Amino acid sequence: MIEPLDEDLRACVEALRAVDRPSPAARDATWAGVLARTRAAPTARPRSRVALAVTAAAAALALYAGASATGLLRRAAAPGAQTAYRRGDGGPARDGAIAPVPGDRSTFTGPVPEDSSDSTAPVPEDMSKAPVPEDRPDVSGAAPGAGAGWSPSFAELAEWAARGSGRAQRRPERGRRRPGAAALDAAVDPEATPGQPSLRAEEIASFRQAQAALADGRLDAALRQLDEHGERYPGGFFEEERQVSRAATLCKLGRVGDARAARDEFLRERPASHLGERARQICAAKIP
Amino acid sequence: MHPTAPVPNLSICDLPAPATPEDARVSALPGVEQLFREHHEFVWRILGRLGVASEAVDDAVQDVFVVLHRRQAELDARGSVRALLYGIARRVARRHRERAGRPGLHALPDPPGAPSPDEQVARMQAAALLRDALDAMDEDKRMTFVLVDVEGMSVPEAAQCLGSNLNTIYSRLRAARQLLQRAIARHRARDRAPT
Repeated sequence: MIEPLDEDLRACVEALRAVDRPSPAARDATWAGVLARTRAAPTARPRSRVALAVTAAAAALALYAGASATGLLRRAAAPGAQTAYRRGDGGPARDGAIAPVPGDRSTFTGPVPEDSSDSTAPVPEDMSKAPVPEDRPDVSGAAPGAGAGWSPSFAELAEWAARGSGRAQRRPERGRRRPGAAALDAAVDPEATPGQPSLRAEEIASFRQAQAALADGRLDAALRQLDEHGERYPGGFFEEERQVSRAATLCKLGRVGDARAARDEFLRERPASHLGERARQICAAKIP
Repeated sequence: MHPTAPVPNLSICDLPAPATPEDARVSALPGVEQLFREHHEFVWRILGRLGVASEAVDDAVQDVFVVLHRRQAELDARGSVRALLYGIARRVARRHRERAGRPGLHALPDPPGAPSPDEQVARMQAAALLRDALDAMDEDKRMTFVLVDVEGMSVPEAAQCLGSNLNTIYSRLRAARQLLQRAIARHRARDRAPT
């Protein structure tokens, strides 16, 4: 049986609970980071023996096809390479056209795809059950951390988003996406959530900078960054948090009148906001 | 950040073992989004108490949920979800501490925009007092106190998190409380002492 805490200790515990809480903006930014990383790193699936065997067979087939194509390319590049081909009509072709030989497995019938991941060939049913590699090395356009398993900073996330999240955009739908992927997309793609504020990595990074300045006590910088963020992302994802943070910053700067005006404007415009209580406390002690 | 640092891997030791063969079936965990919504604050606080530097807590929270996402199919939802998250958070925290090279507790960042009236100052002082006292404690007692008295876990749930039996948890909890009460009493005595 646990005894109840004595009064002093309970007061300290309650204080710790009240103080050690993440802000809603930090929570949103963290979730955006989780989305970005989980989007680039699919869930590991349990590996079955059948799936491993299918994977091994597919890998062997791909190796064989690759080796064949490579060998043929070498022959094509060598002098007298046309001997590797048979002319379509069985005799000398006047226009020099080279026709593939039906049934010849080594026949090269087209250009080598630059990126095999872009192949739009249908995936065999069994292959869809094969484990998806978690961390592919050197995937240009993949989110930071997707390949090496390290945590990206928000600045890196922003950089990644600025590059356009290439891999996610490059790969078309192939019916292999995990359940819930659409929900993940909806949370990060502005187009997928009409009517919702956009949420981009650079927006997160911008707001996070302002937060960091505020946390460091660089109030002038925080105020400037909050204002810049508001201009750059009007009605953005962090708008409510930005307005409350701005009012609080003004209060801390001693600009009580401006702080109260900003606070009152926020409460008037967003009476049902979950930040209402926090906003009401801004410069509250100085209200006569 | 260290690009070459491996992802923290889950070990079977971090997961509760099936109680009976019947329980060996894998229950479905709720989605990561739901888990994040319900337990983000818990994970955030626990990581701070596990010694992750304040500036790295948000990244560490990300790591926990990314690991959860990646390993979801391998995890078993039997028992406490918080115990599961605690197991992941403990490993992630260890990795972050190793990277930072400075073990110990760190103050979590203040919520941005929080006002600072007198009450808030007093609260901050009380929280700092408790934080310092927890910092001086060994990890077993500290985490027992944090899980039971700060996070409100039941003793069996905390025992599952910490891999200890119930009697050990009760004993650690009593010891932790005594140490904290003494620390508070010392603090009060210093405050009352004439200068």
